[in-house]
Amino acid sequence: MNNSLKKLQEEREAMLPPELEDRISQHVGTLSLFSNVIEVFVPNALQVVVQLVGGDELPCLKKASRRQARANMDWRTPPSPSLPNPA
Amino acid sequence: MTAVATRKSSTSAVLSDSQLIALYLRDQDARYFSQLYRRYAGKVFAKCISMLADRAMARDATQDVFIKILLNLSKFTEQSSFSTWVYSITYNYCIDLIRKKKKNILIFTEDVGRVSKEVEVDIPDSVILDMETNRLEVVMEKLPVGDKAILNMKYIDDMSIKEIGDVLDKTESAIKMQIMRAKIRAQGLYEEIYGTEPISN
Repeated sequence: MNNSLKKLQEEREAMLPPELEDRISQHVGTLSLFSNVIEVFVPNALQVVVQLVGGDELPCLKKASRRQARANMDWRTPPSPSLPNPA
Repeated sequence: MTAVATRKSSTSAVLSDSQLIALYLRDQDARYFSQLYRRYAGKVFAKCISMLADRAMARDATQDVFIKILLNLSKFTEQSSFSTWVYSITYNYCIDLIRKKKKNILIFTEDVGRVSKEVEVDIPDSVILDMETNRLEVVMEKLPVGDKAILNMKYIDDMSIKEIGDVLDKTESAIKMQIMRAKIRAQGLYEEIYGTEPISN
């Protein structure tokens, strides 16, 4: 079936200005950078404020630091005494 | 470009829209969004020209639509296909833009009040689809922006009546009526401009 509307759309698609992709890429890049900065900066800034007013470590950062501590654990460290003895 | 980057961009070309969205949201890697842009930019730009009838405005609108998509990508719920979501953002953005620019503009033909109940009969799709493209362009330019959106959604994007209703926040019966009125209006405009010359090529 003939569809002049689709033909018109195809003609117009070919008129897309090529410079538009660069303009949008710049926005995407800026936004990615901004979100990364927020992700790194905001929890730590919040932590500083909480500690300044006498609060404890933020739970989200606590988890992260515990995870880091586990990752840095020395493989030669013997298991904790609370673990059942296999012997 | 590094080998990893090349591999990434060639892989992203075969990924589905949903996979690209998930990867972009996870990695924040601009290449995934760029792939989505390449898939839809032409179509979005063509719709913007059709709705706004101005190339410069259409270019700026396309940019704004993609920034809107970027900022709301995490809200995309897959209730509809990604293309339908992108097109609904485009149509609503263009309608809002026209509304803001011309405060008292008529969005749909029903607002004009020229189509009375008596002439509300079913007219064939060929009234629009068989028109010669140059003439169709002239006729479409003169239609109210809402009518253009509805005709594009139905005959270009192949959206269902329900989907069109969801996009424009109207009932299905209102959309059916609107499509018919838009076709009558287009036919009337054709006759006003080209007289009794046949519509078909």
